[in-house]
Amino acid sequence: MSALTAAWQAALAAEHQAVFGYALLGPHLTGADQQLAVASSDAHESLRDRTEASLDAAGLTPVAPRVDYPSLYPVTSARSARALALRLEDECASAWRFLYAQAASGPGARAAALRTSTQSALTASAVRASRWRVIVDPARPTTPFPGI
Amino acid sequence: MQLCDEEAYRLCQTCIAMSDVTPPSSPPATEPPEPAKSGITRRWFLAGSGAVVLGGGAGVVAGIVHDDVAPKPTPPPAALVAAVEAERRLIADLDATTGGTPAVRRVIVASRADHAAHLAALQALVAGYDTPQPTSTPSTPRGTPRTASELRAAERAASSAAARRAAVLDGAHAVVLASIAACEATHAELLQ
Repeated sequence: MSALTAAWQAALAAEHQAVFGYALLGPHLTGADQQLAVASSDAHESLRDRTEASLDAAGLTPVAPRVDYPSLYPVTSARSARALALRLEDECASAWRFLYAQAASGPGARAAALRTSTQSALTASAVRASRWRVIVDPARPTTPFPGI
Repeated sequence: MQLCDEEAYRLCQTCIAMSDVTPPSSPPATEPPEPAKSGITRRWFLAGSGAVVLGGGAGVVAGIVHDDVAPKPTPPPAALVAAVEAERRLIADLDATTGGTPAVRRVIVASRADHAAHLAALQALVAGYDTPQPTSTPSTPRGTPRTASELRAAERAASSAAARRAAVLDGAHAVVLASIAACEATHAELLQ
């Protein structure tokens, strides 16, 4: 497996984790926070599906989700649910940033084409992370280098 | 580079001095006599050997220095230079914008800090290239006070531009600009 393919699969794995994580944290939230969680979860499900389709189209077998993600527990309150949401977004941003790095370091049409969709995914995760960060840590609503 | 030139010059001067060494006069009486057949004294032999070693060393150093100097200076990629200027303009506009609600002010302060970090990172990348020394410090662009919606539009445009610049760069440069693009999108989001 090439470094590019491994990074691509890792990005999909991060999306699988995000979908699982939002299902785990959603029930602990109410009101606007819950709406944000639902919108974020929908976005990750869509991105997961598109990433699987892209890998499939490239002749690769998309990595499957895990049965469970023990590192995401425990989520016992709204506070821990919001913190987990922020963590999920930051981890997705890191995974997409890593894929971008691999694509930007290697030759080939696939790498070049991946950069556009990967930039979109990185930016989308960074934006969702900033929405959660405003709630979790209003004094530090942004980070200068998302994913790094 | 100048230091290398000076070192090479000193080394060459040493070599020249060594090559100019005349055979030492007959050895003092306290030293054992040299073999009569060769006609070369031990001191002369050592001096000659030293000249050969130093001469070789000078050649190597001169070769390194020459190899270092010979290529034309590589200017930084235009996309990187443009990114630096874009960050400077954004910072100037944020500094010129003194109004806004407390919520907008918080975003402006956070954005200003992020742009300063972007500028520092981009300037560090540019510094990795051989660029002509500027004759004067670049002047700070004059900022324009902006409304929140104007700042949002500027951040959104900056994000798109950074993503386009990332796409034409490679390696670490591309990754830094991709991340900057993502960051600037978060500024636009928070200024909604």
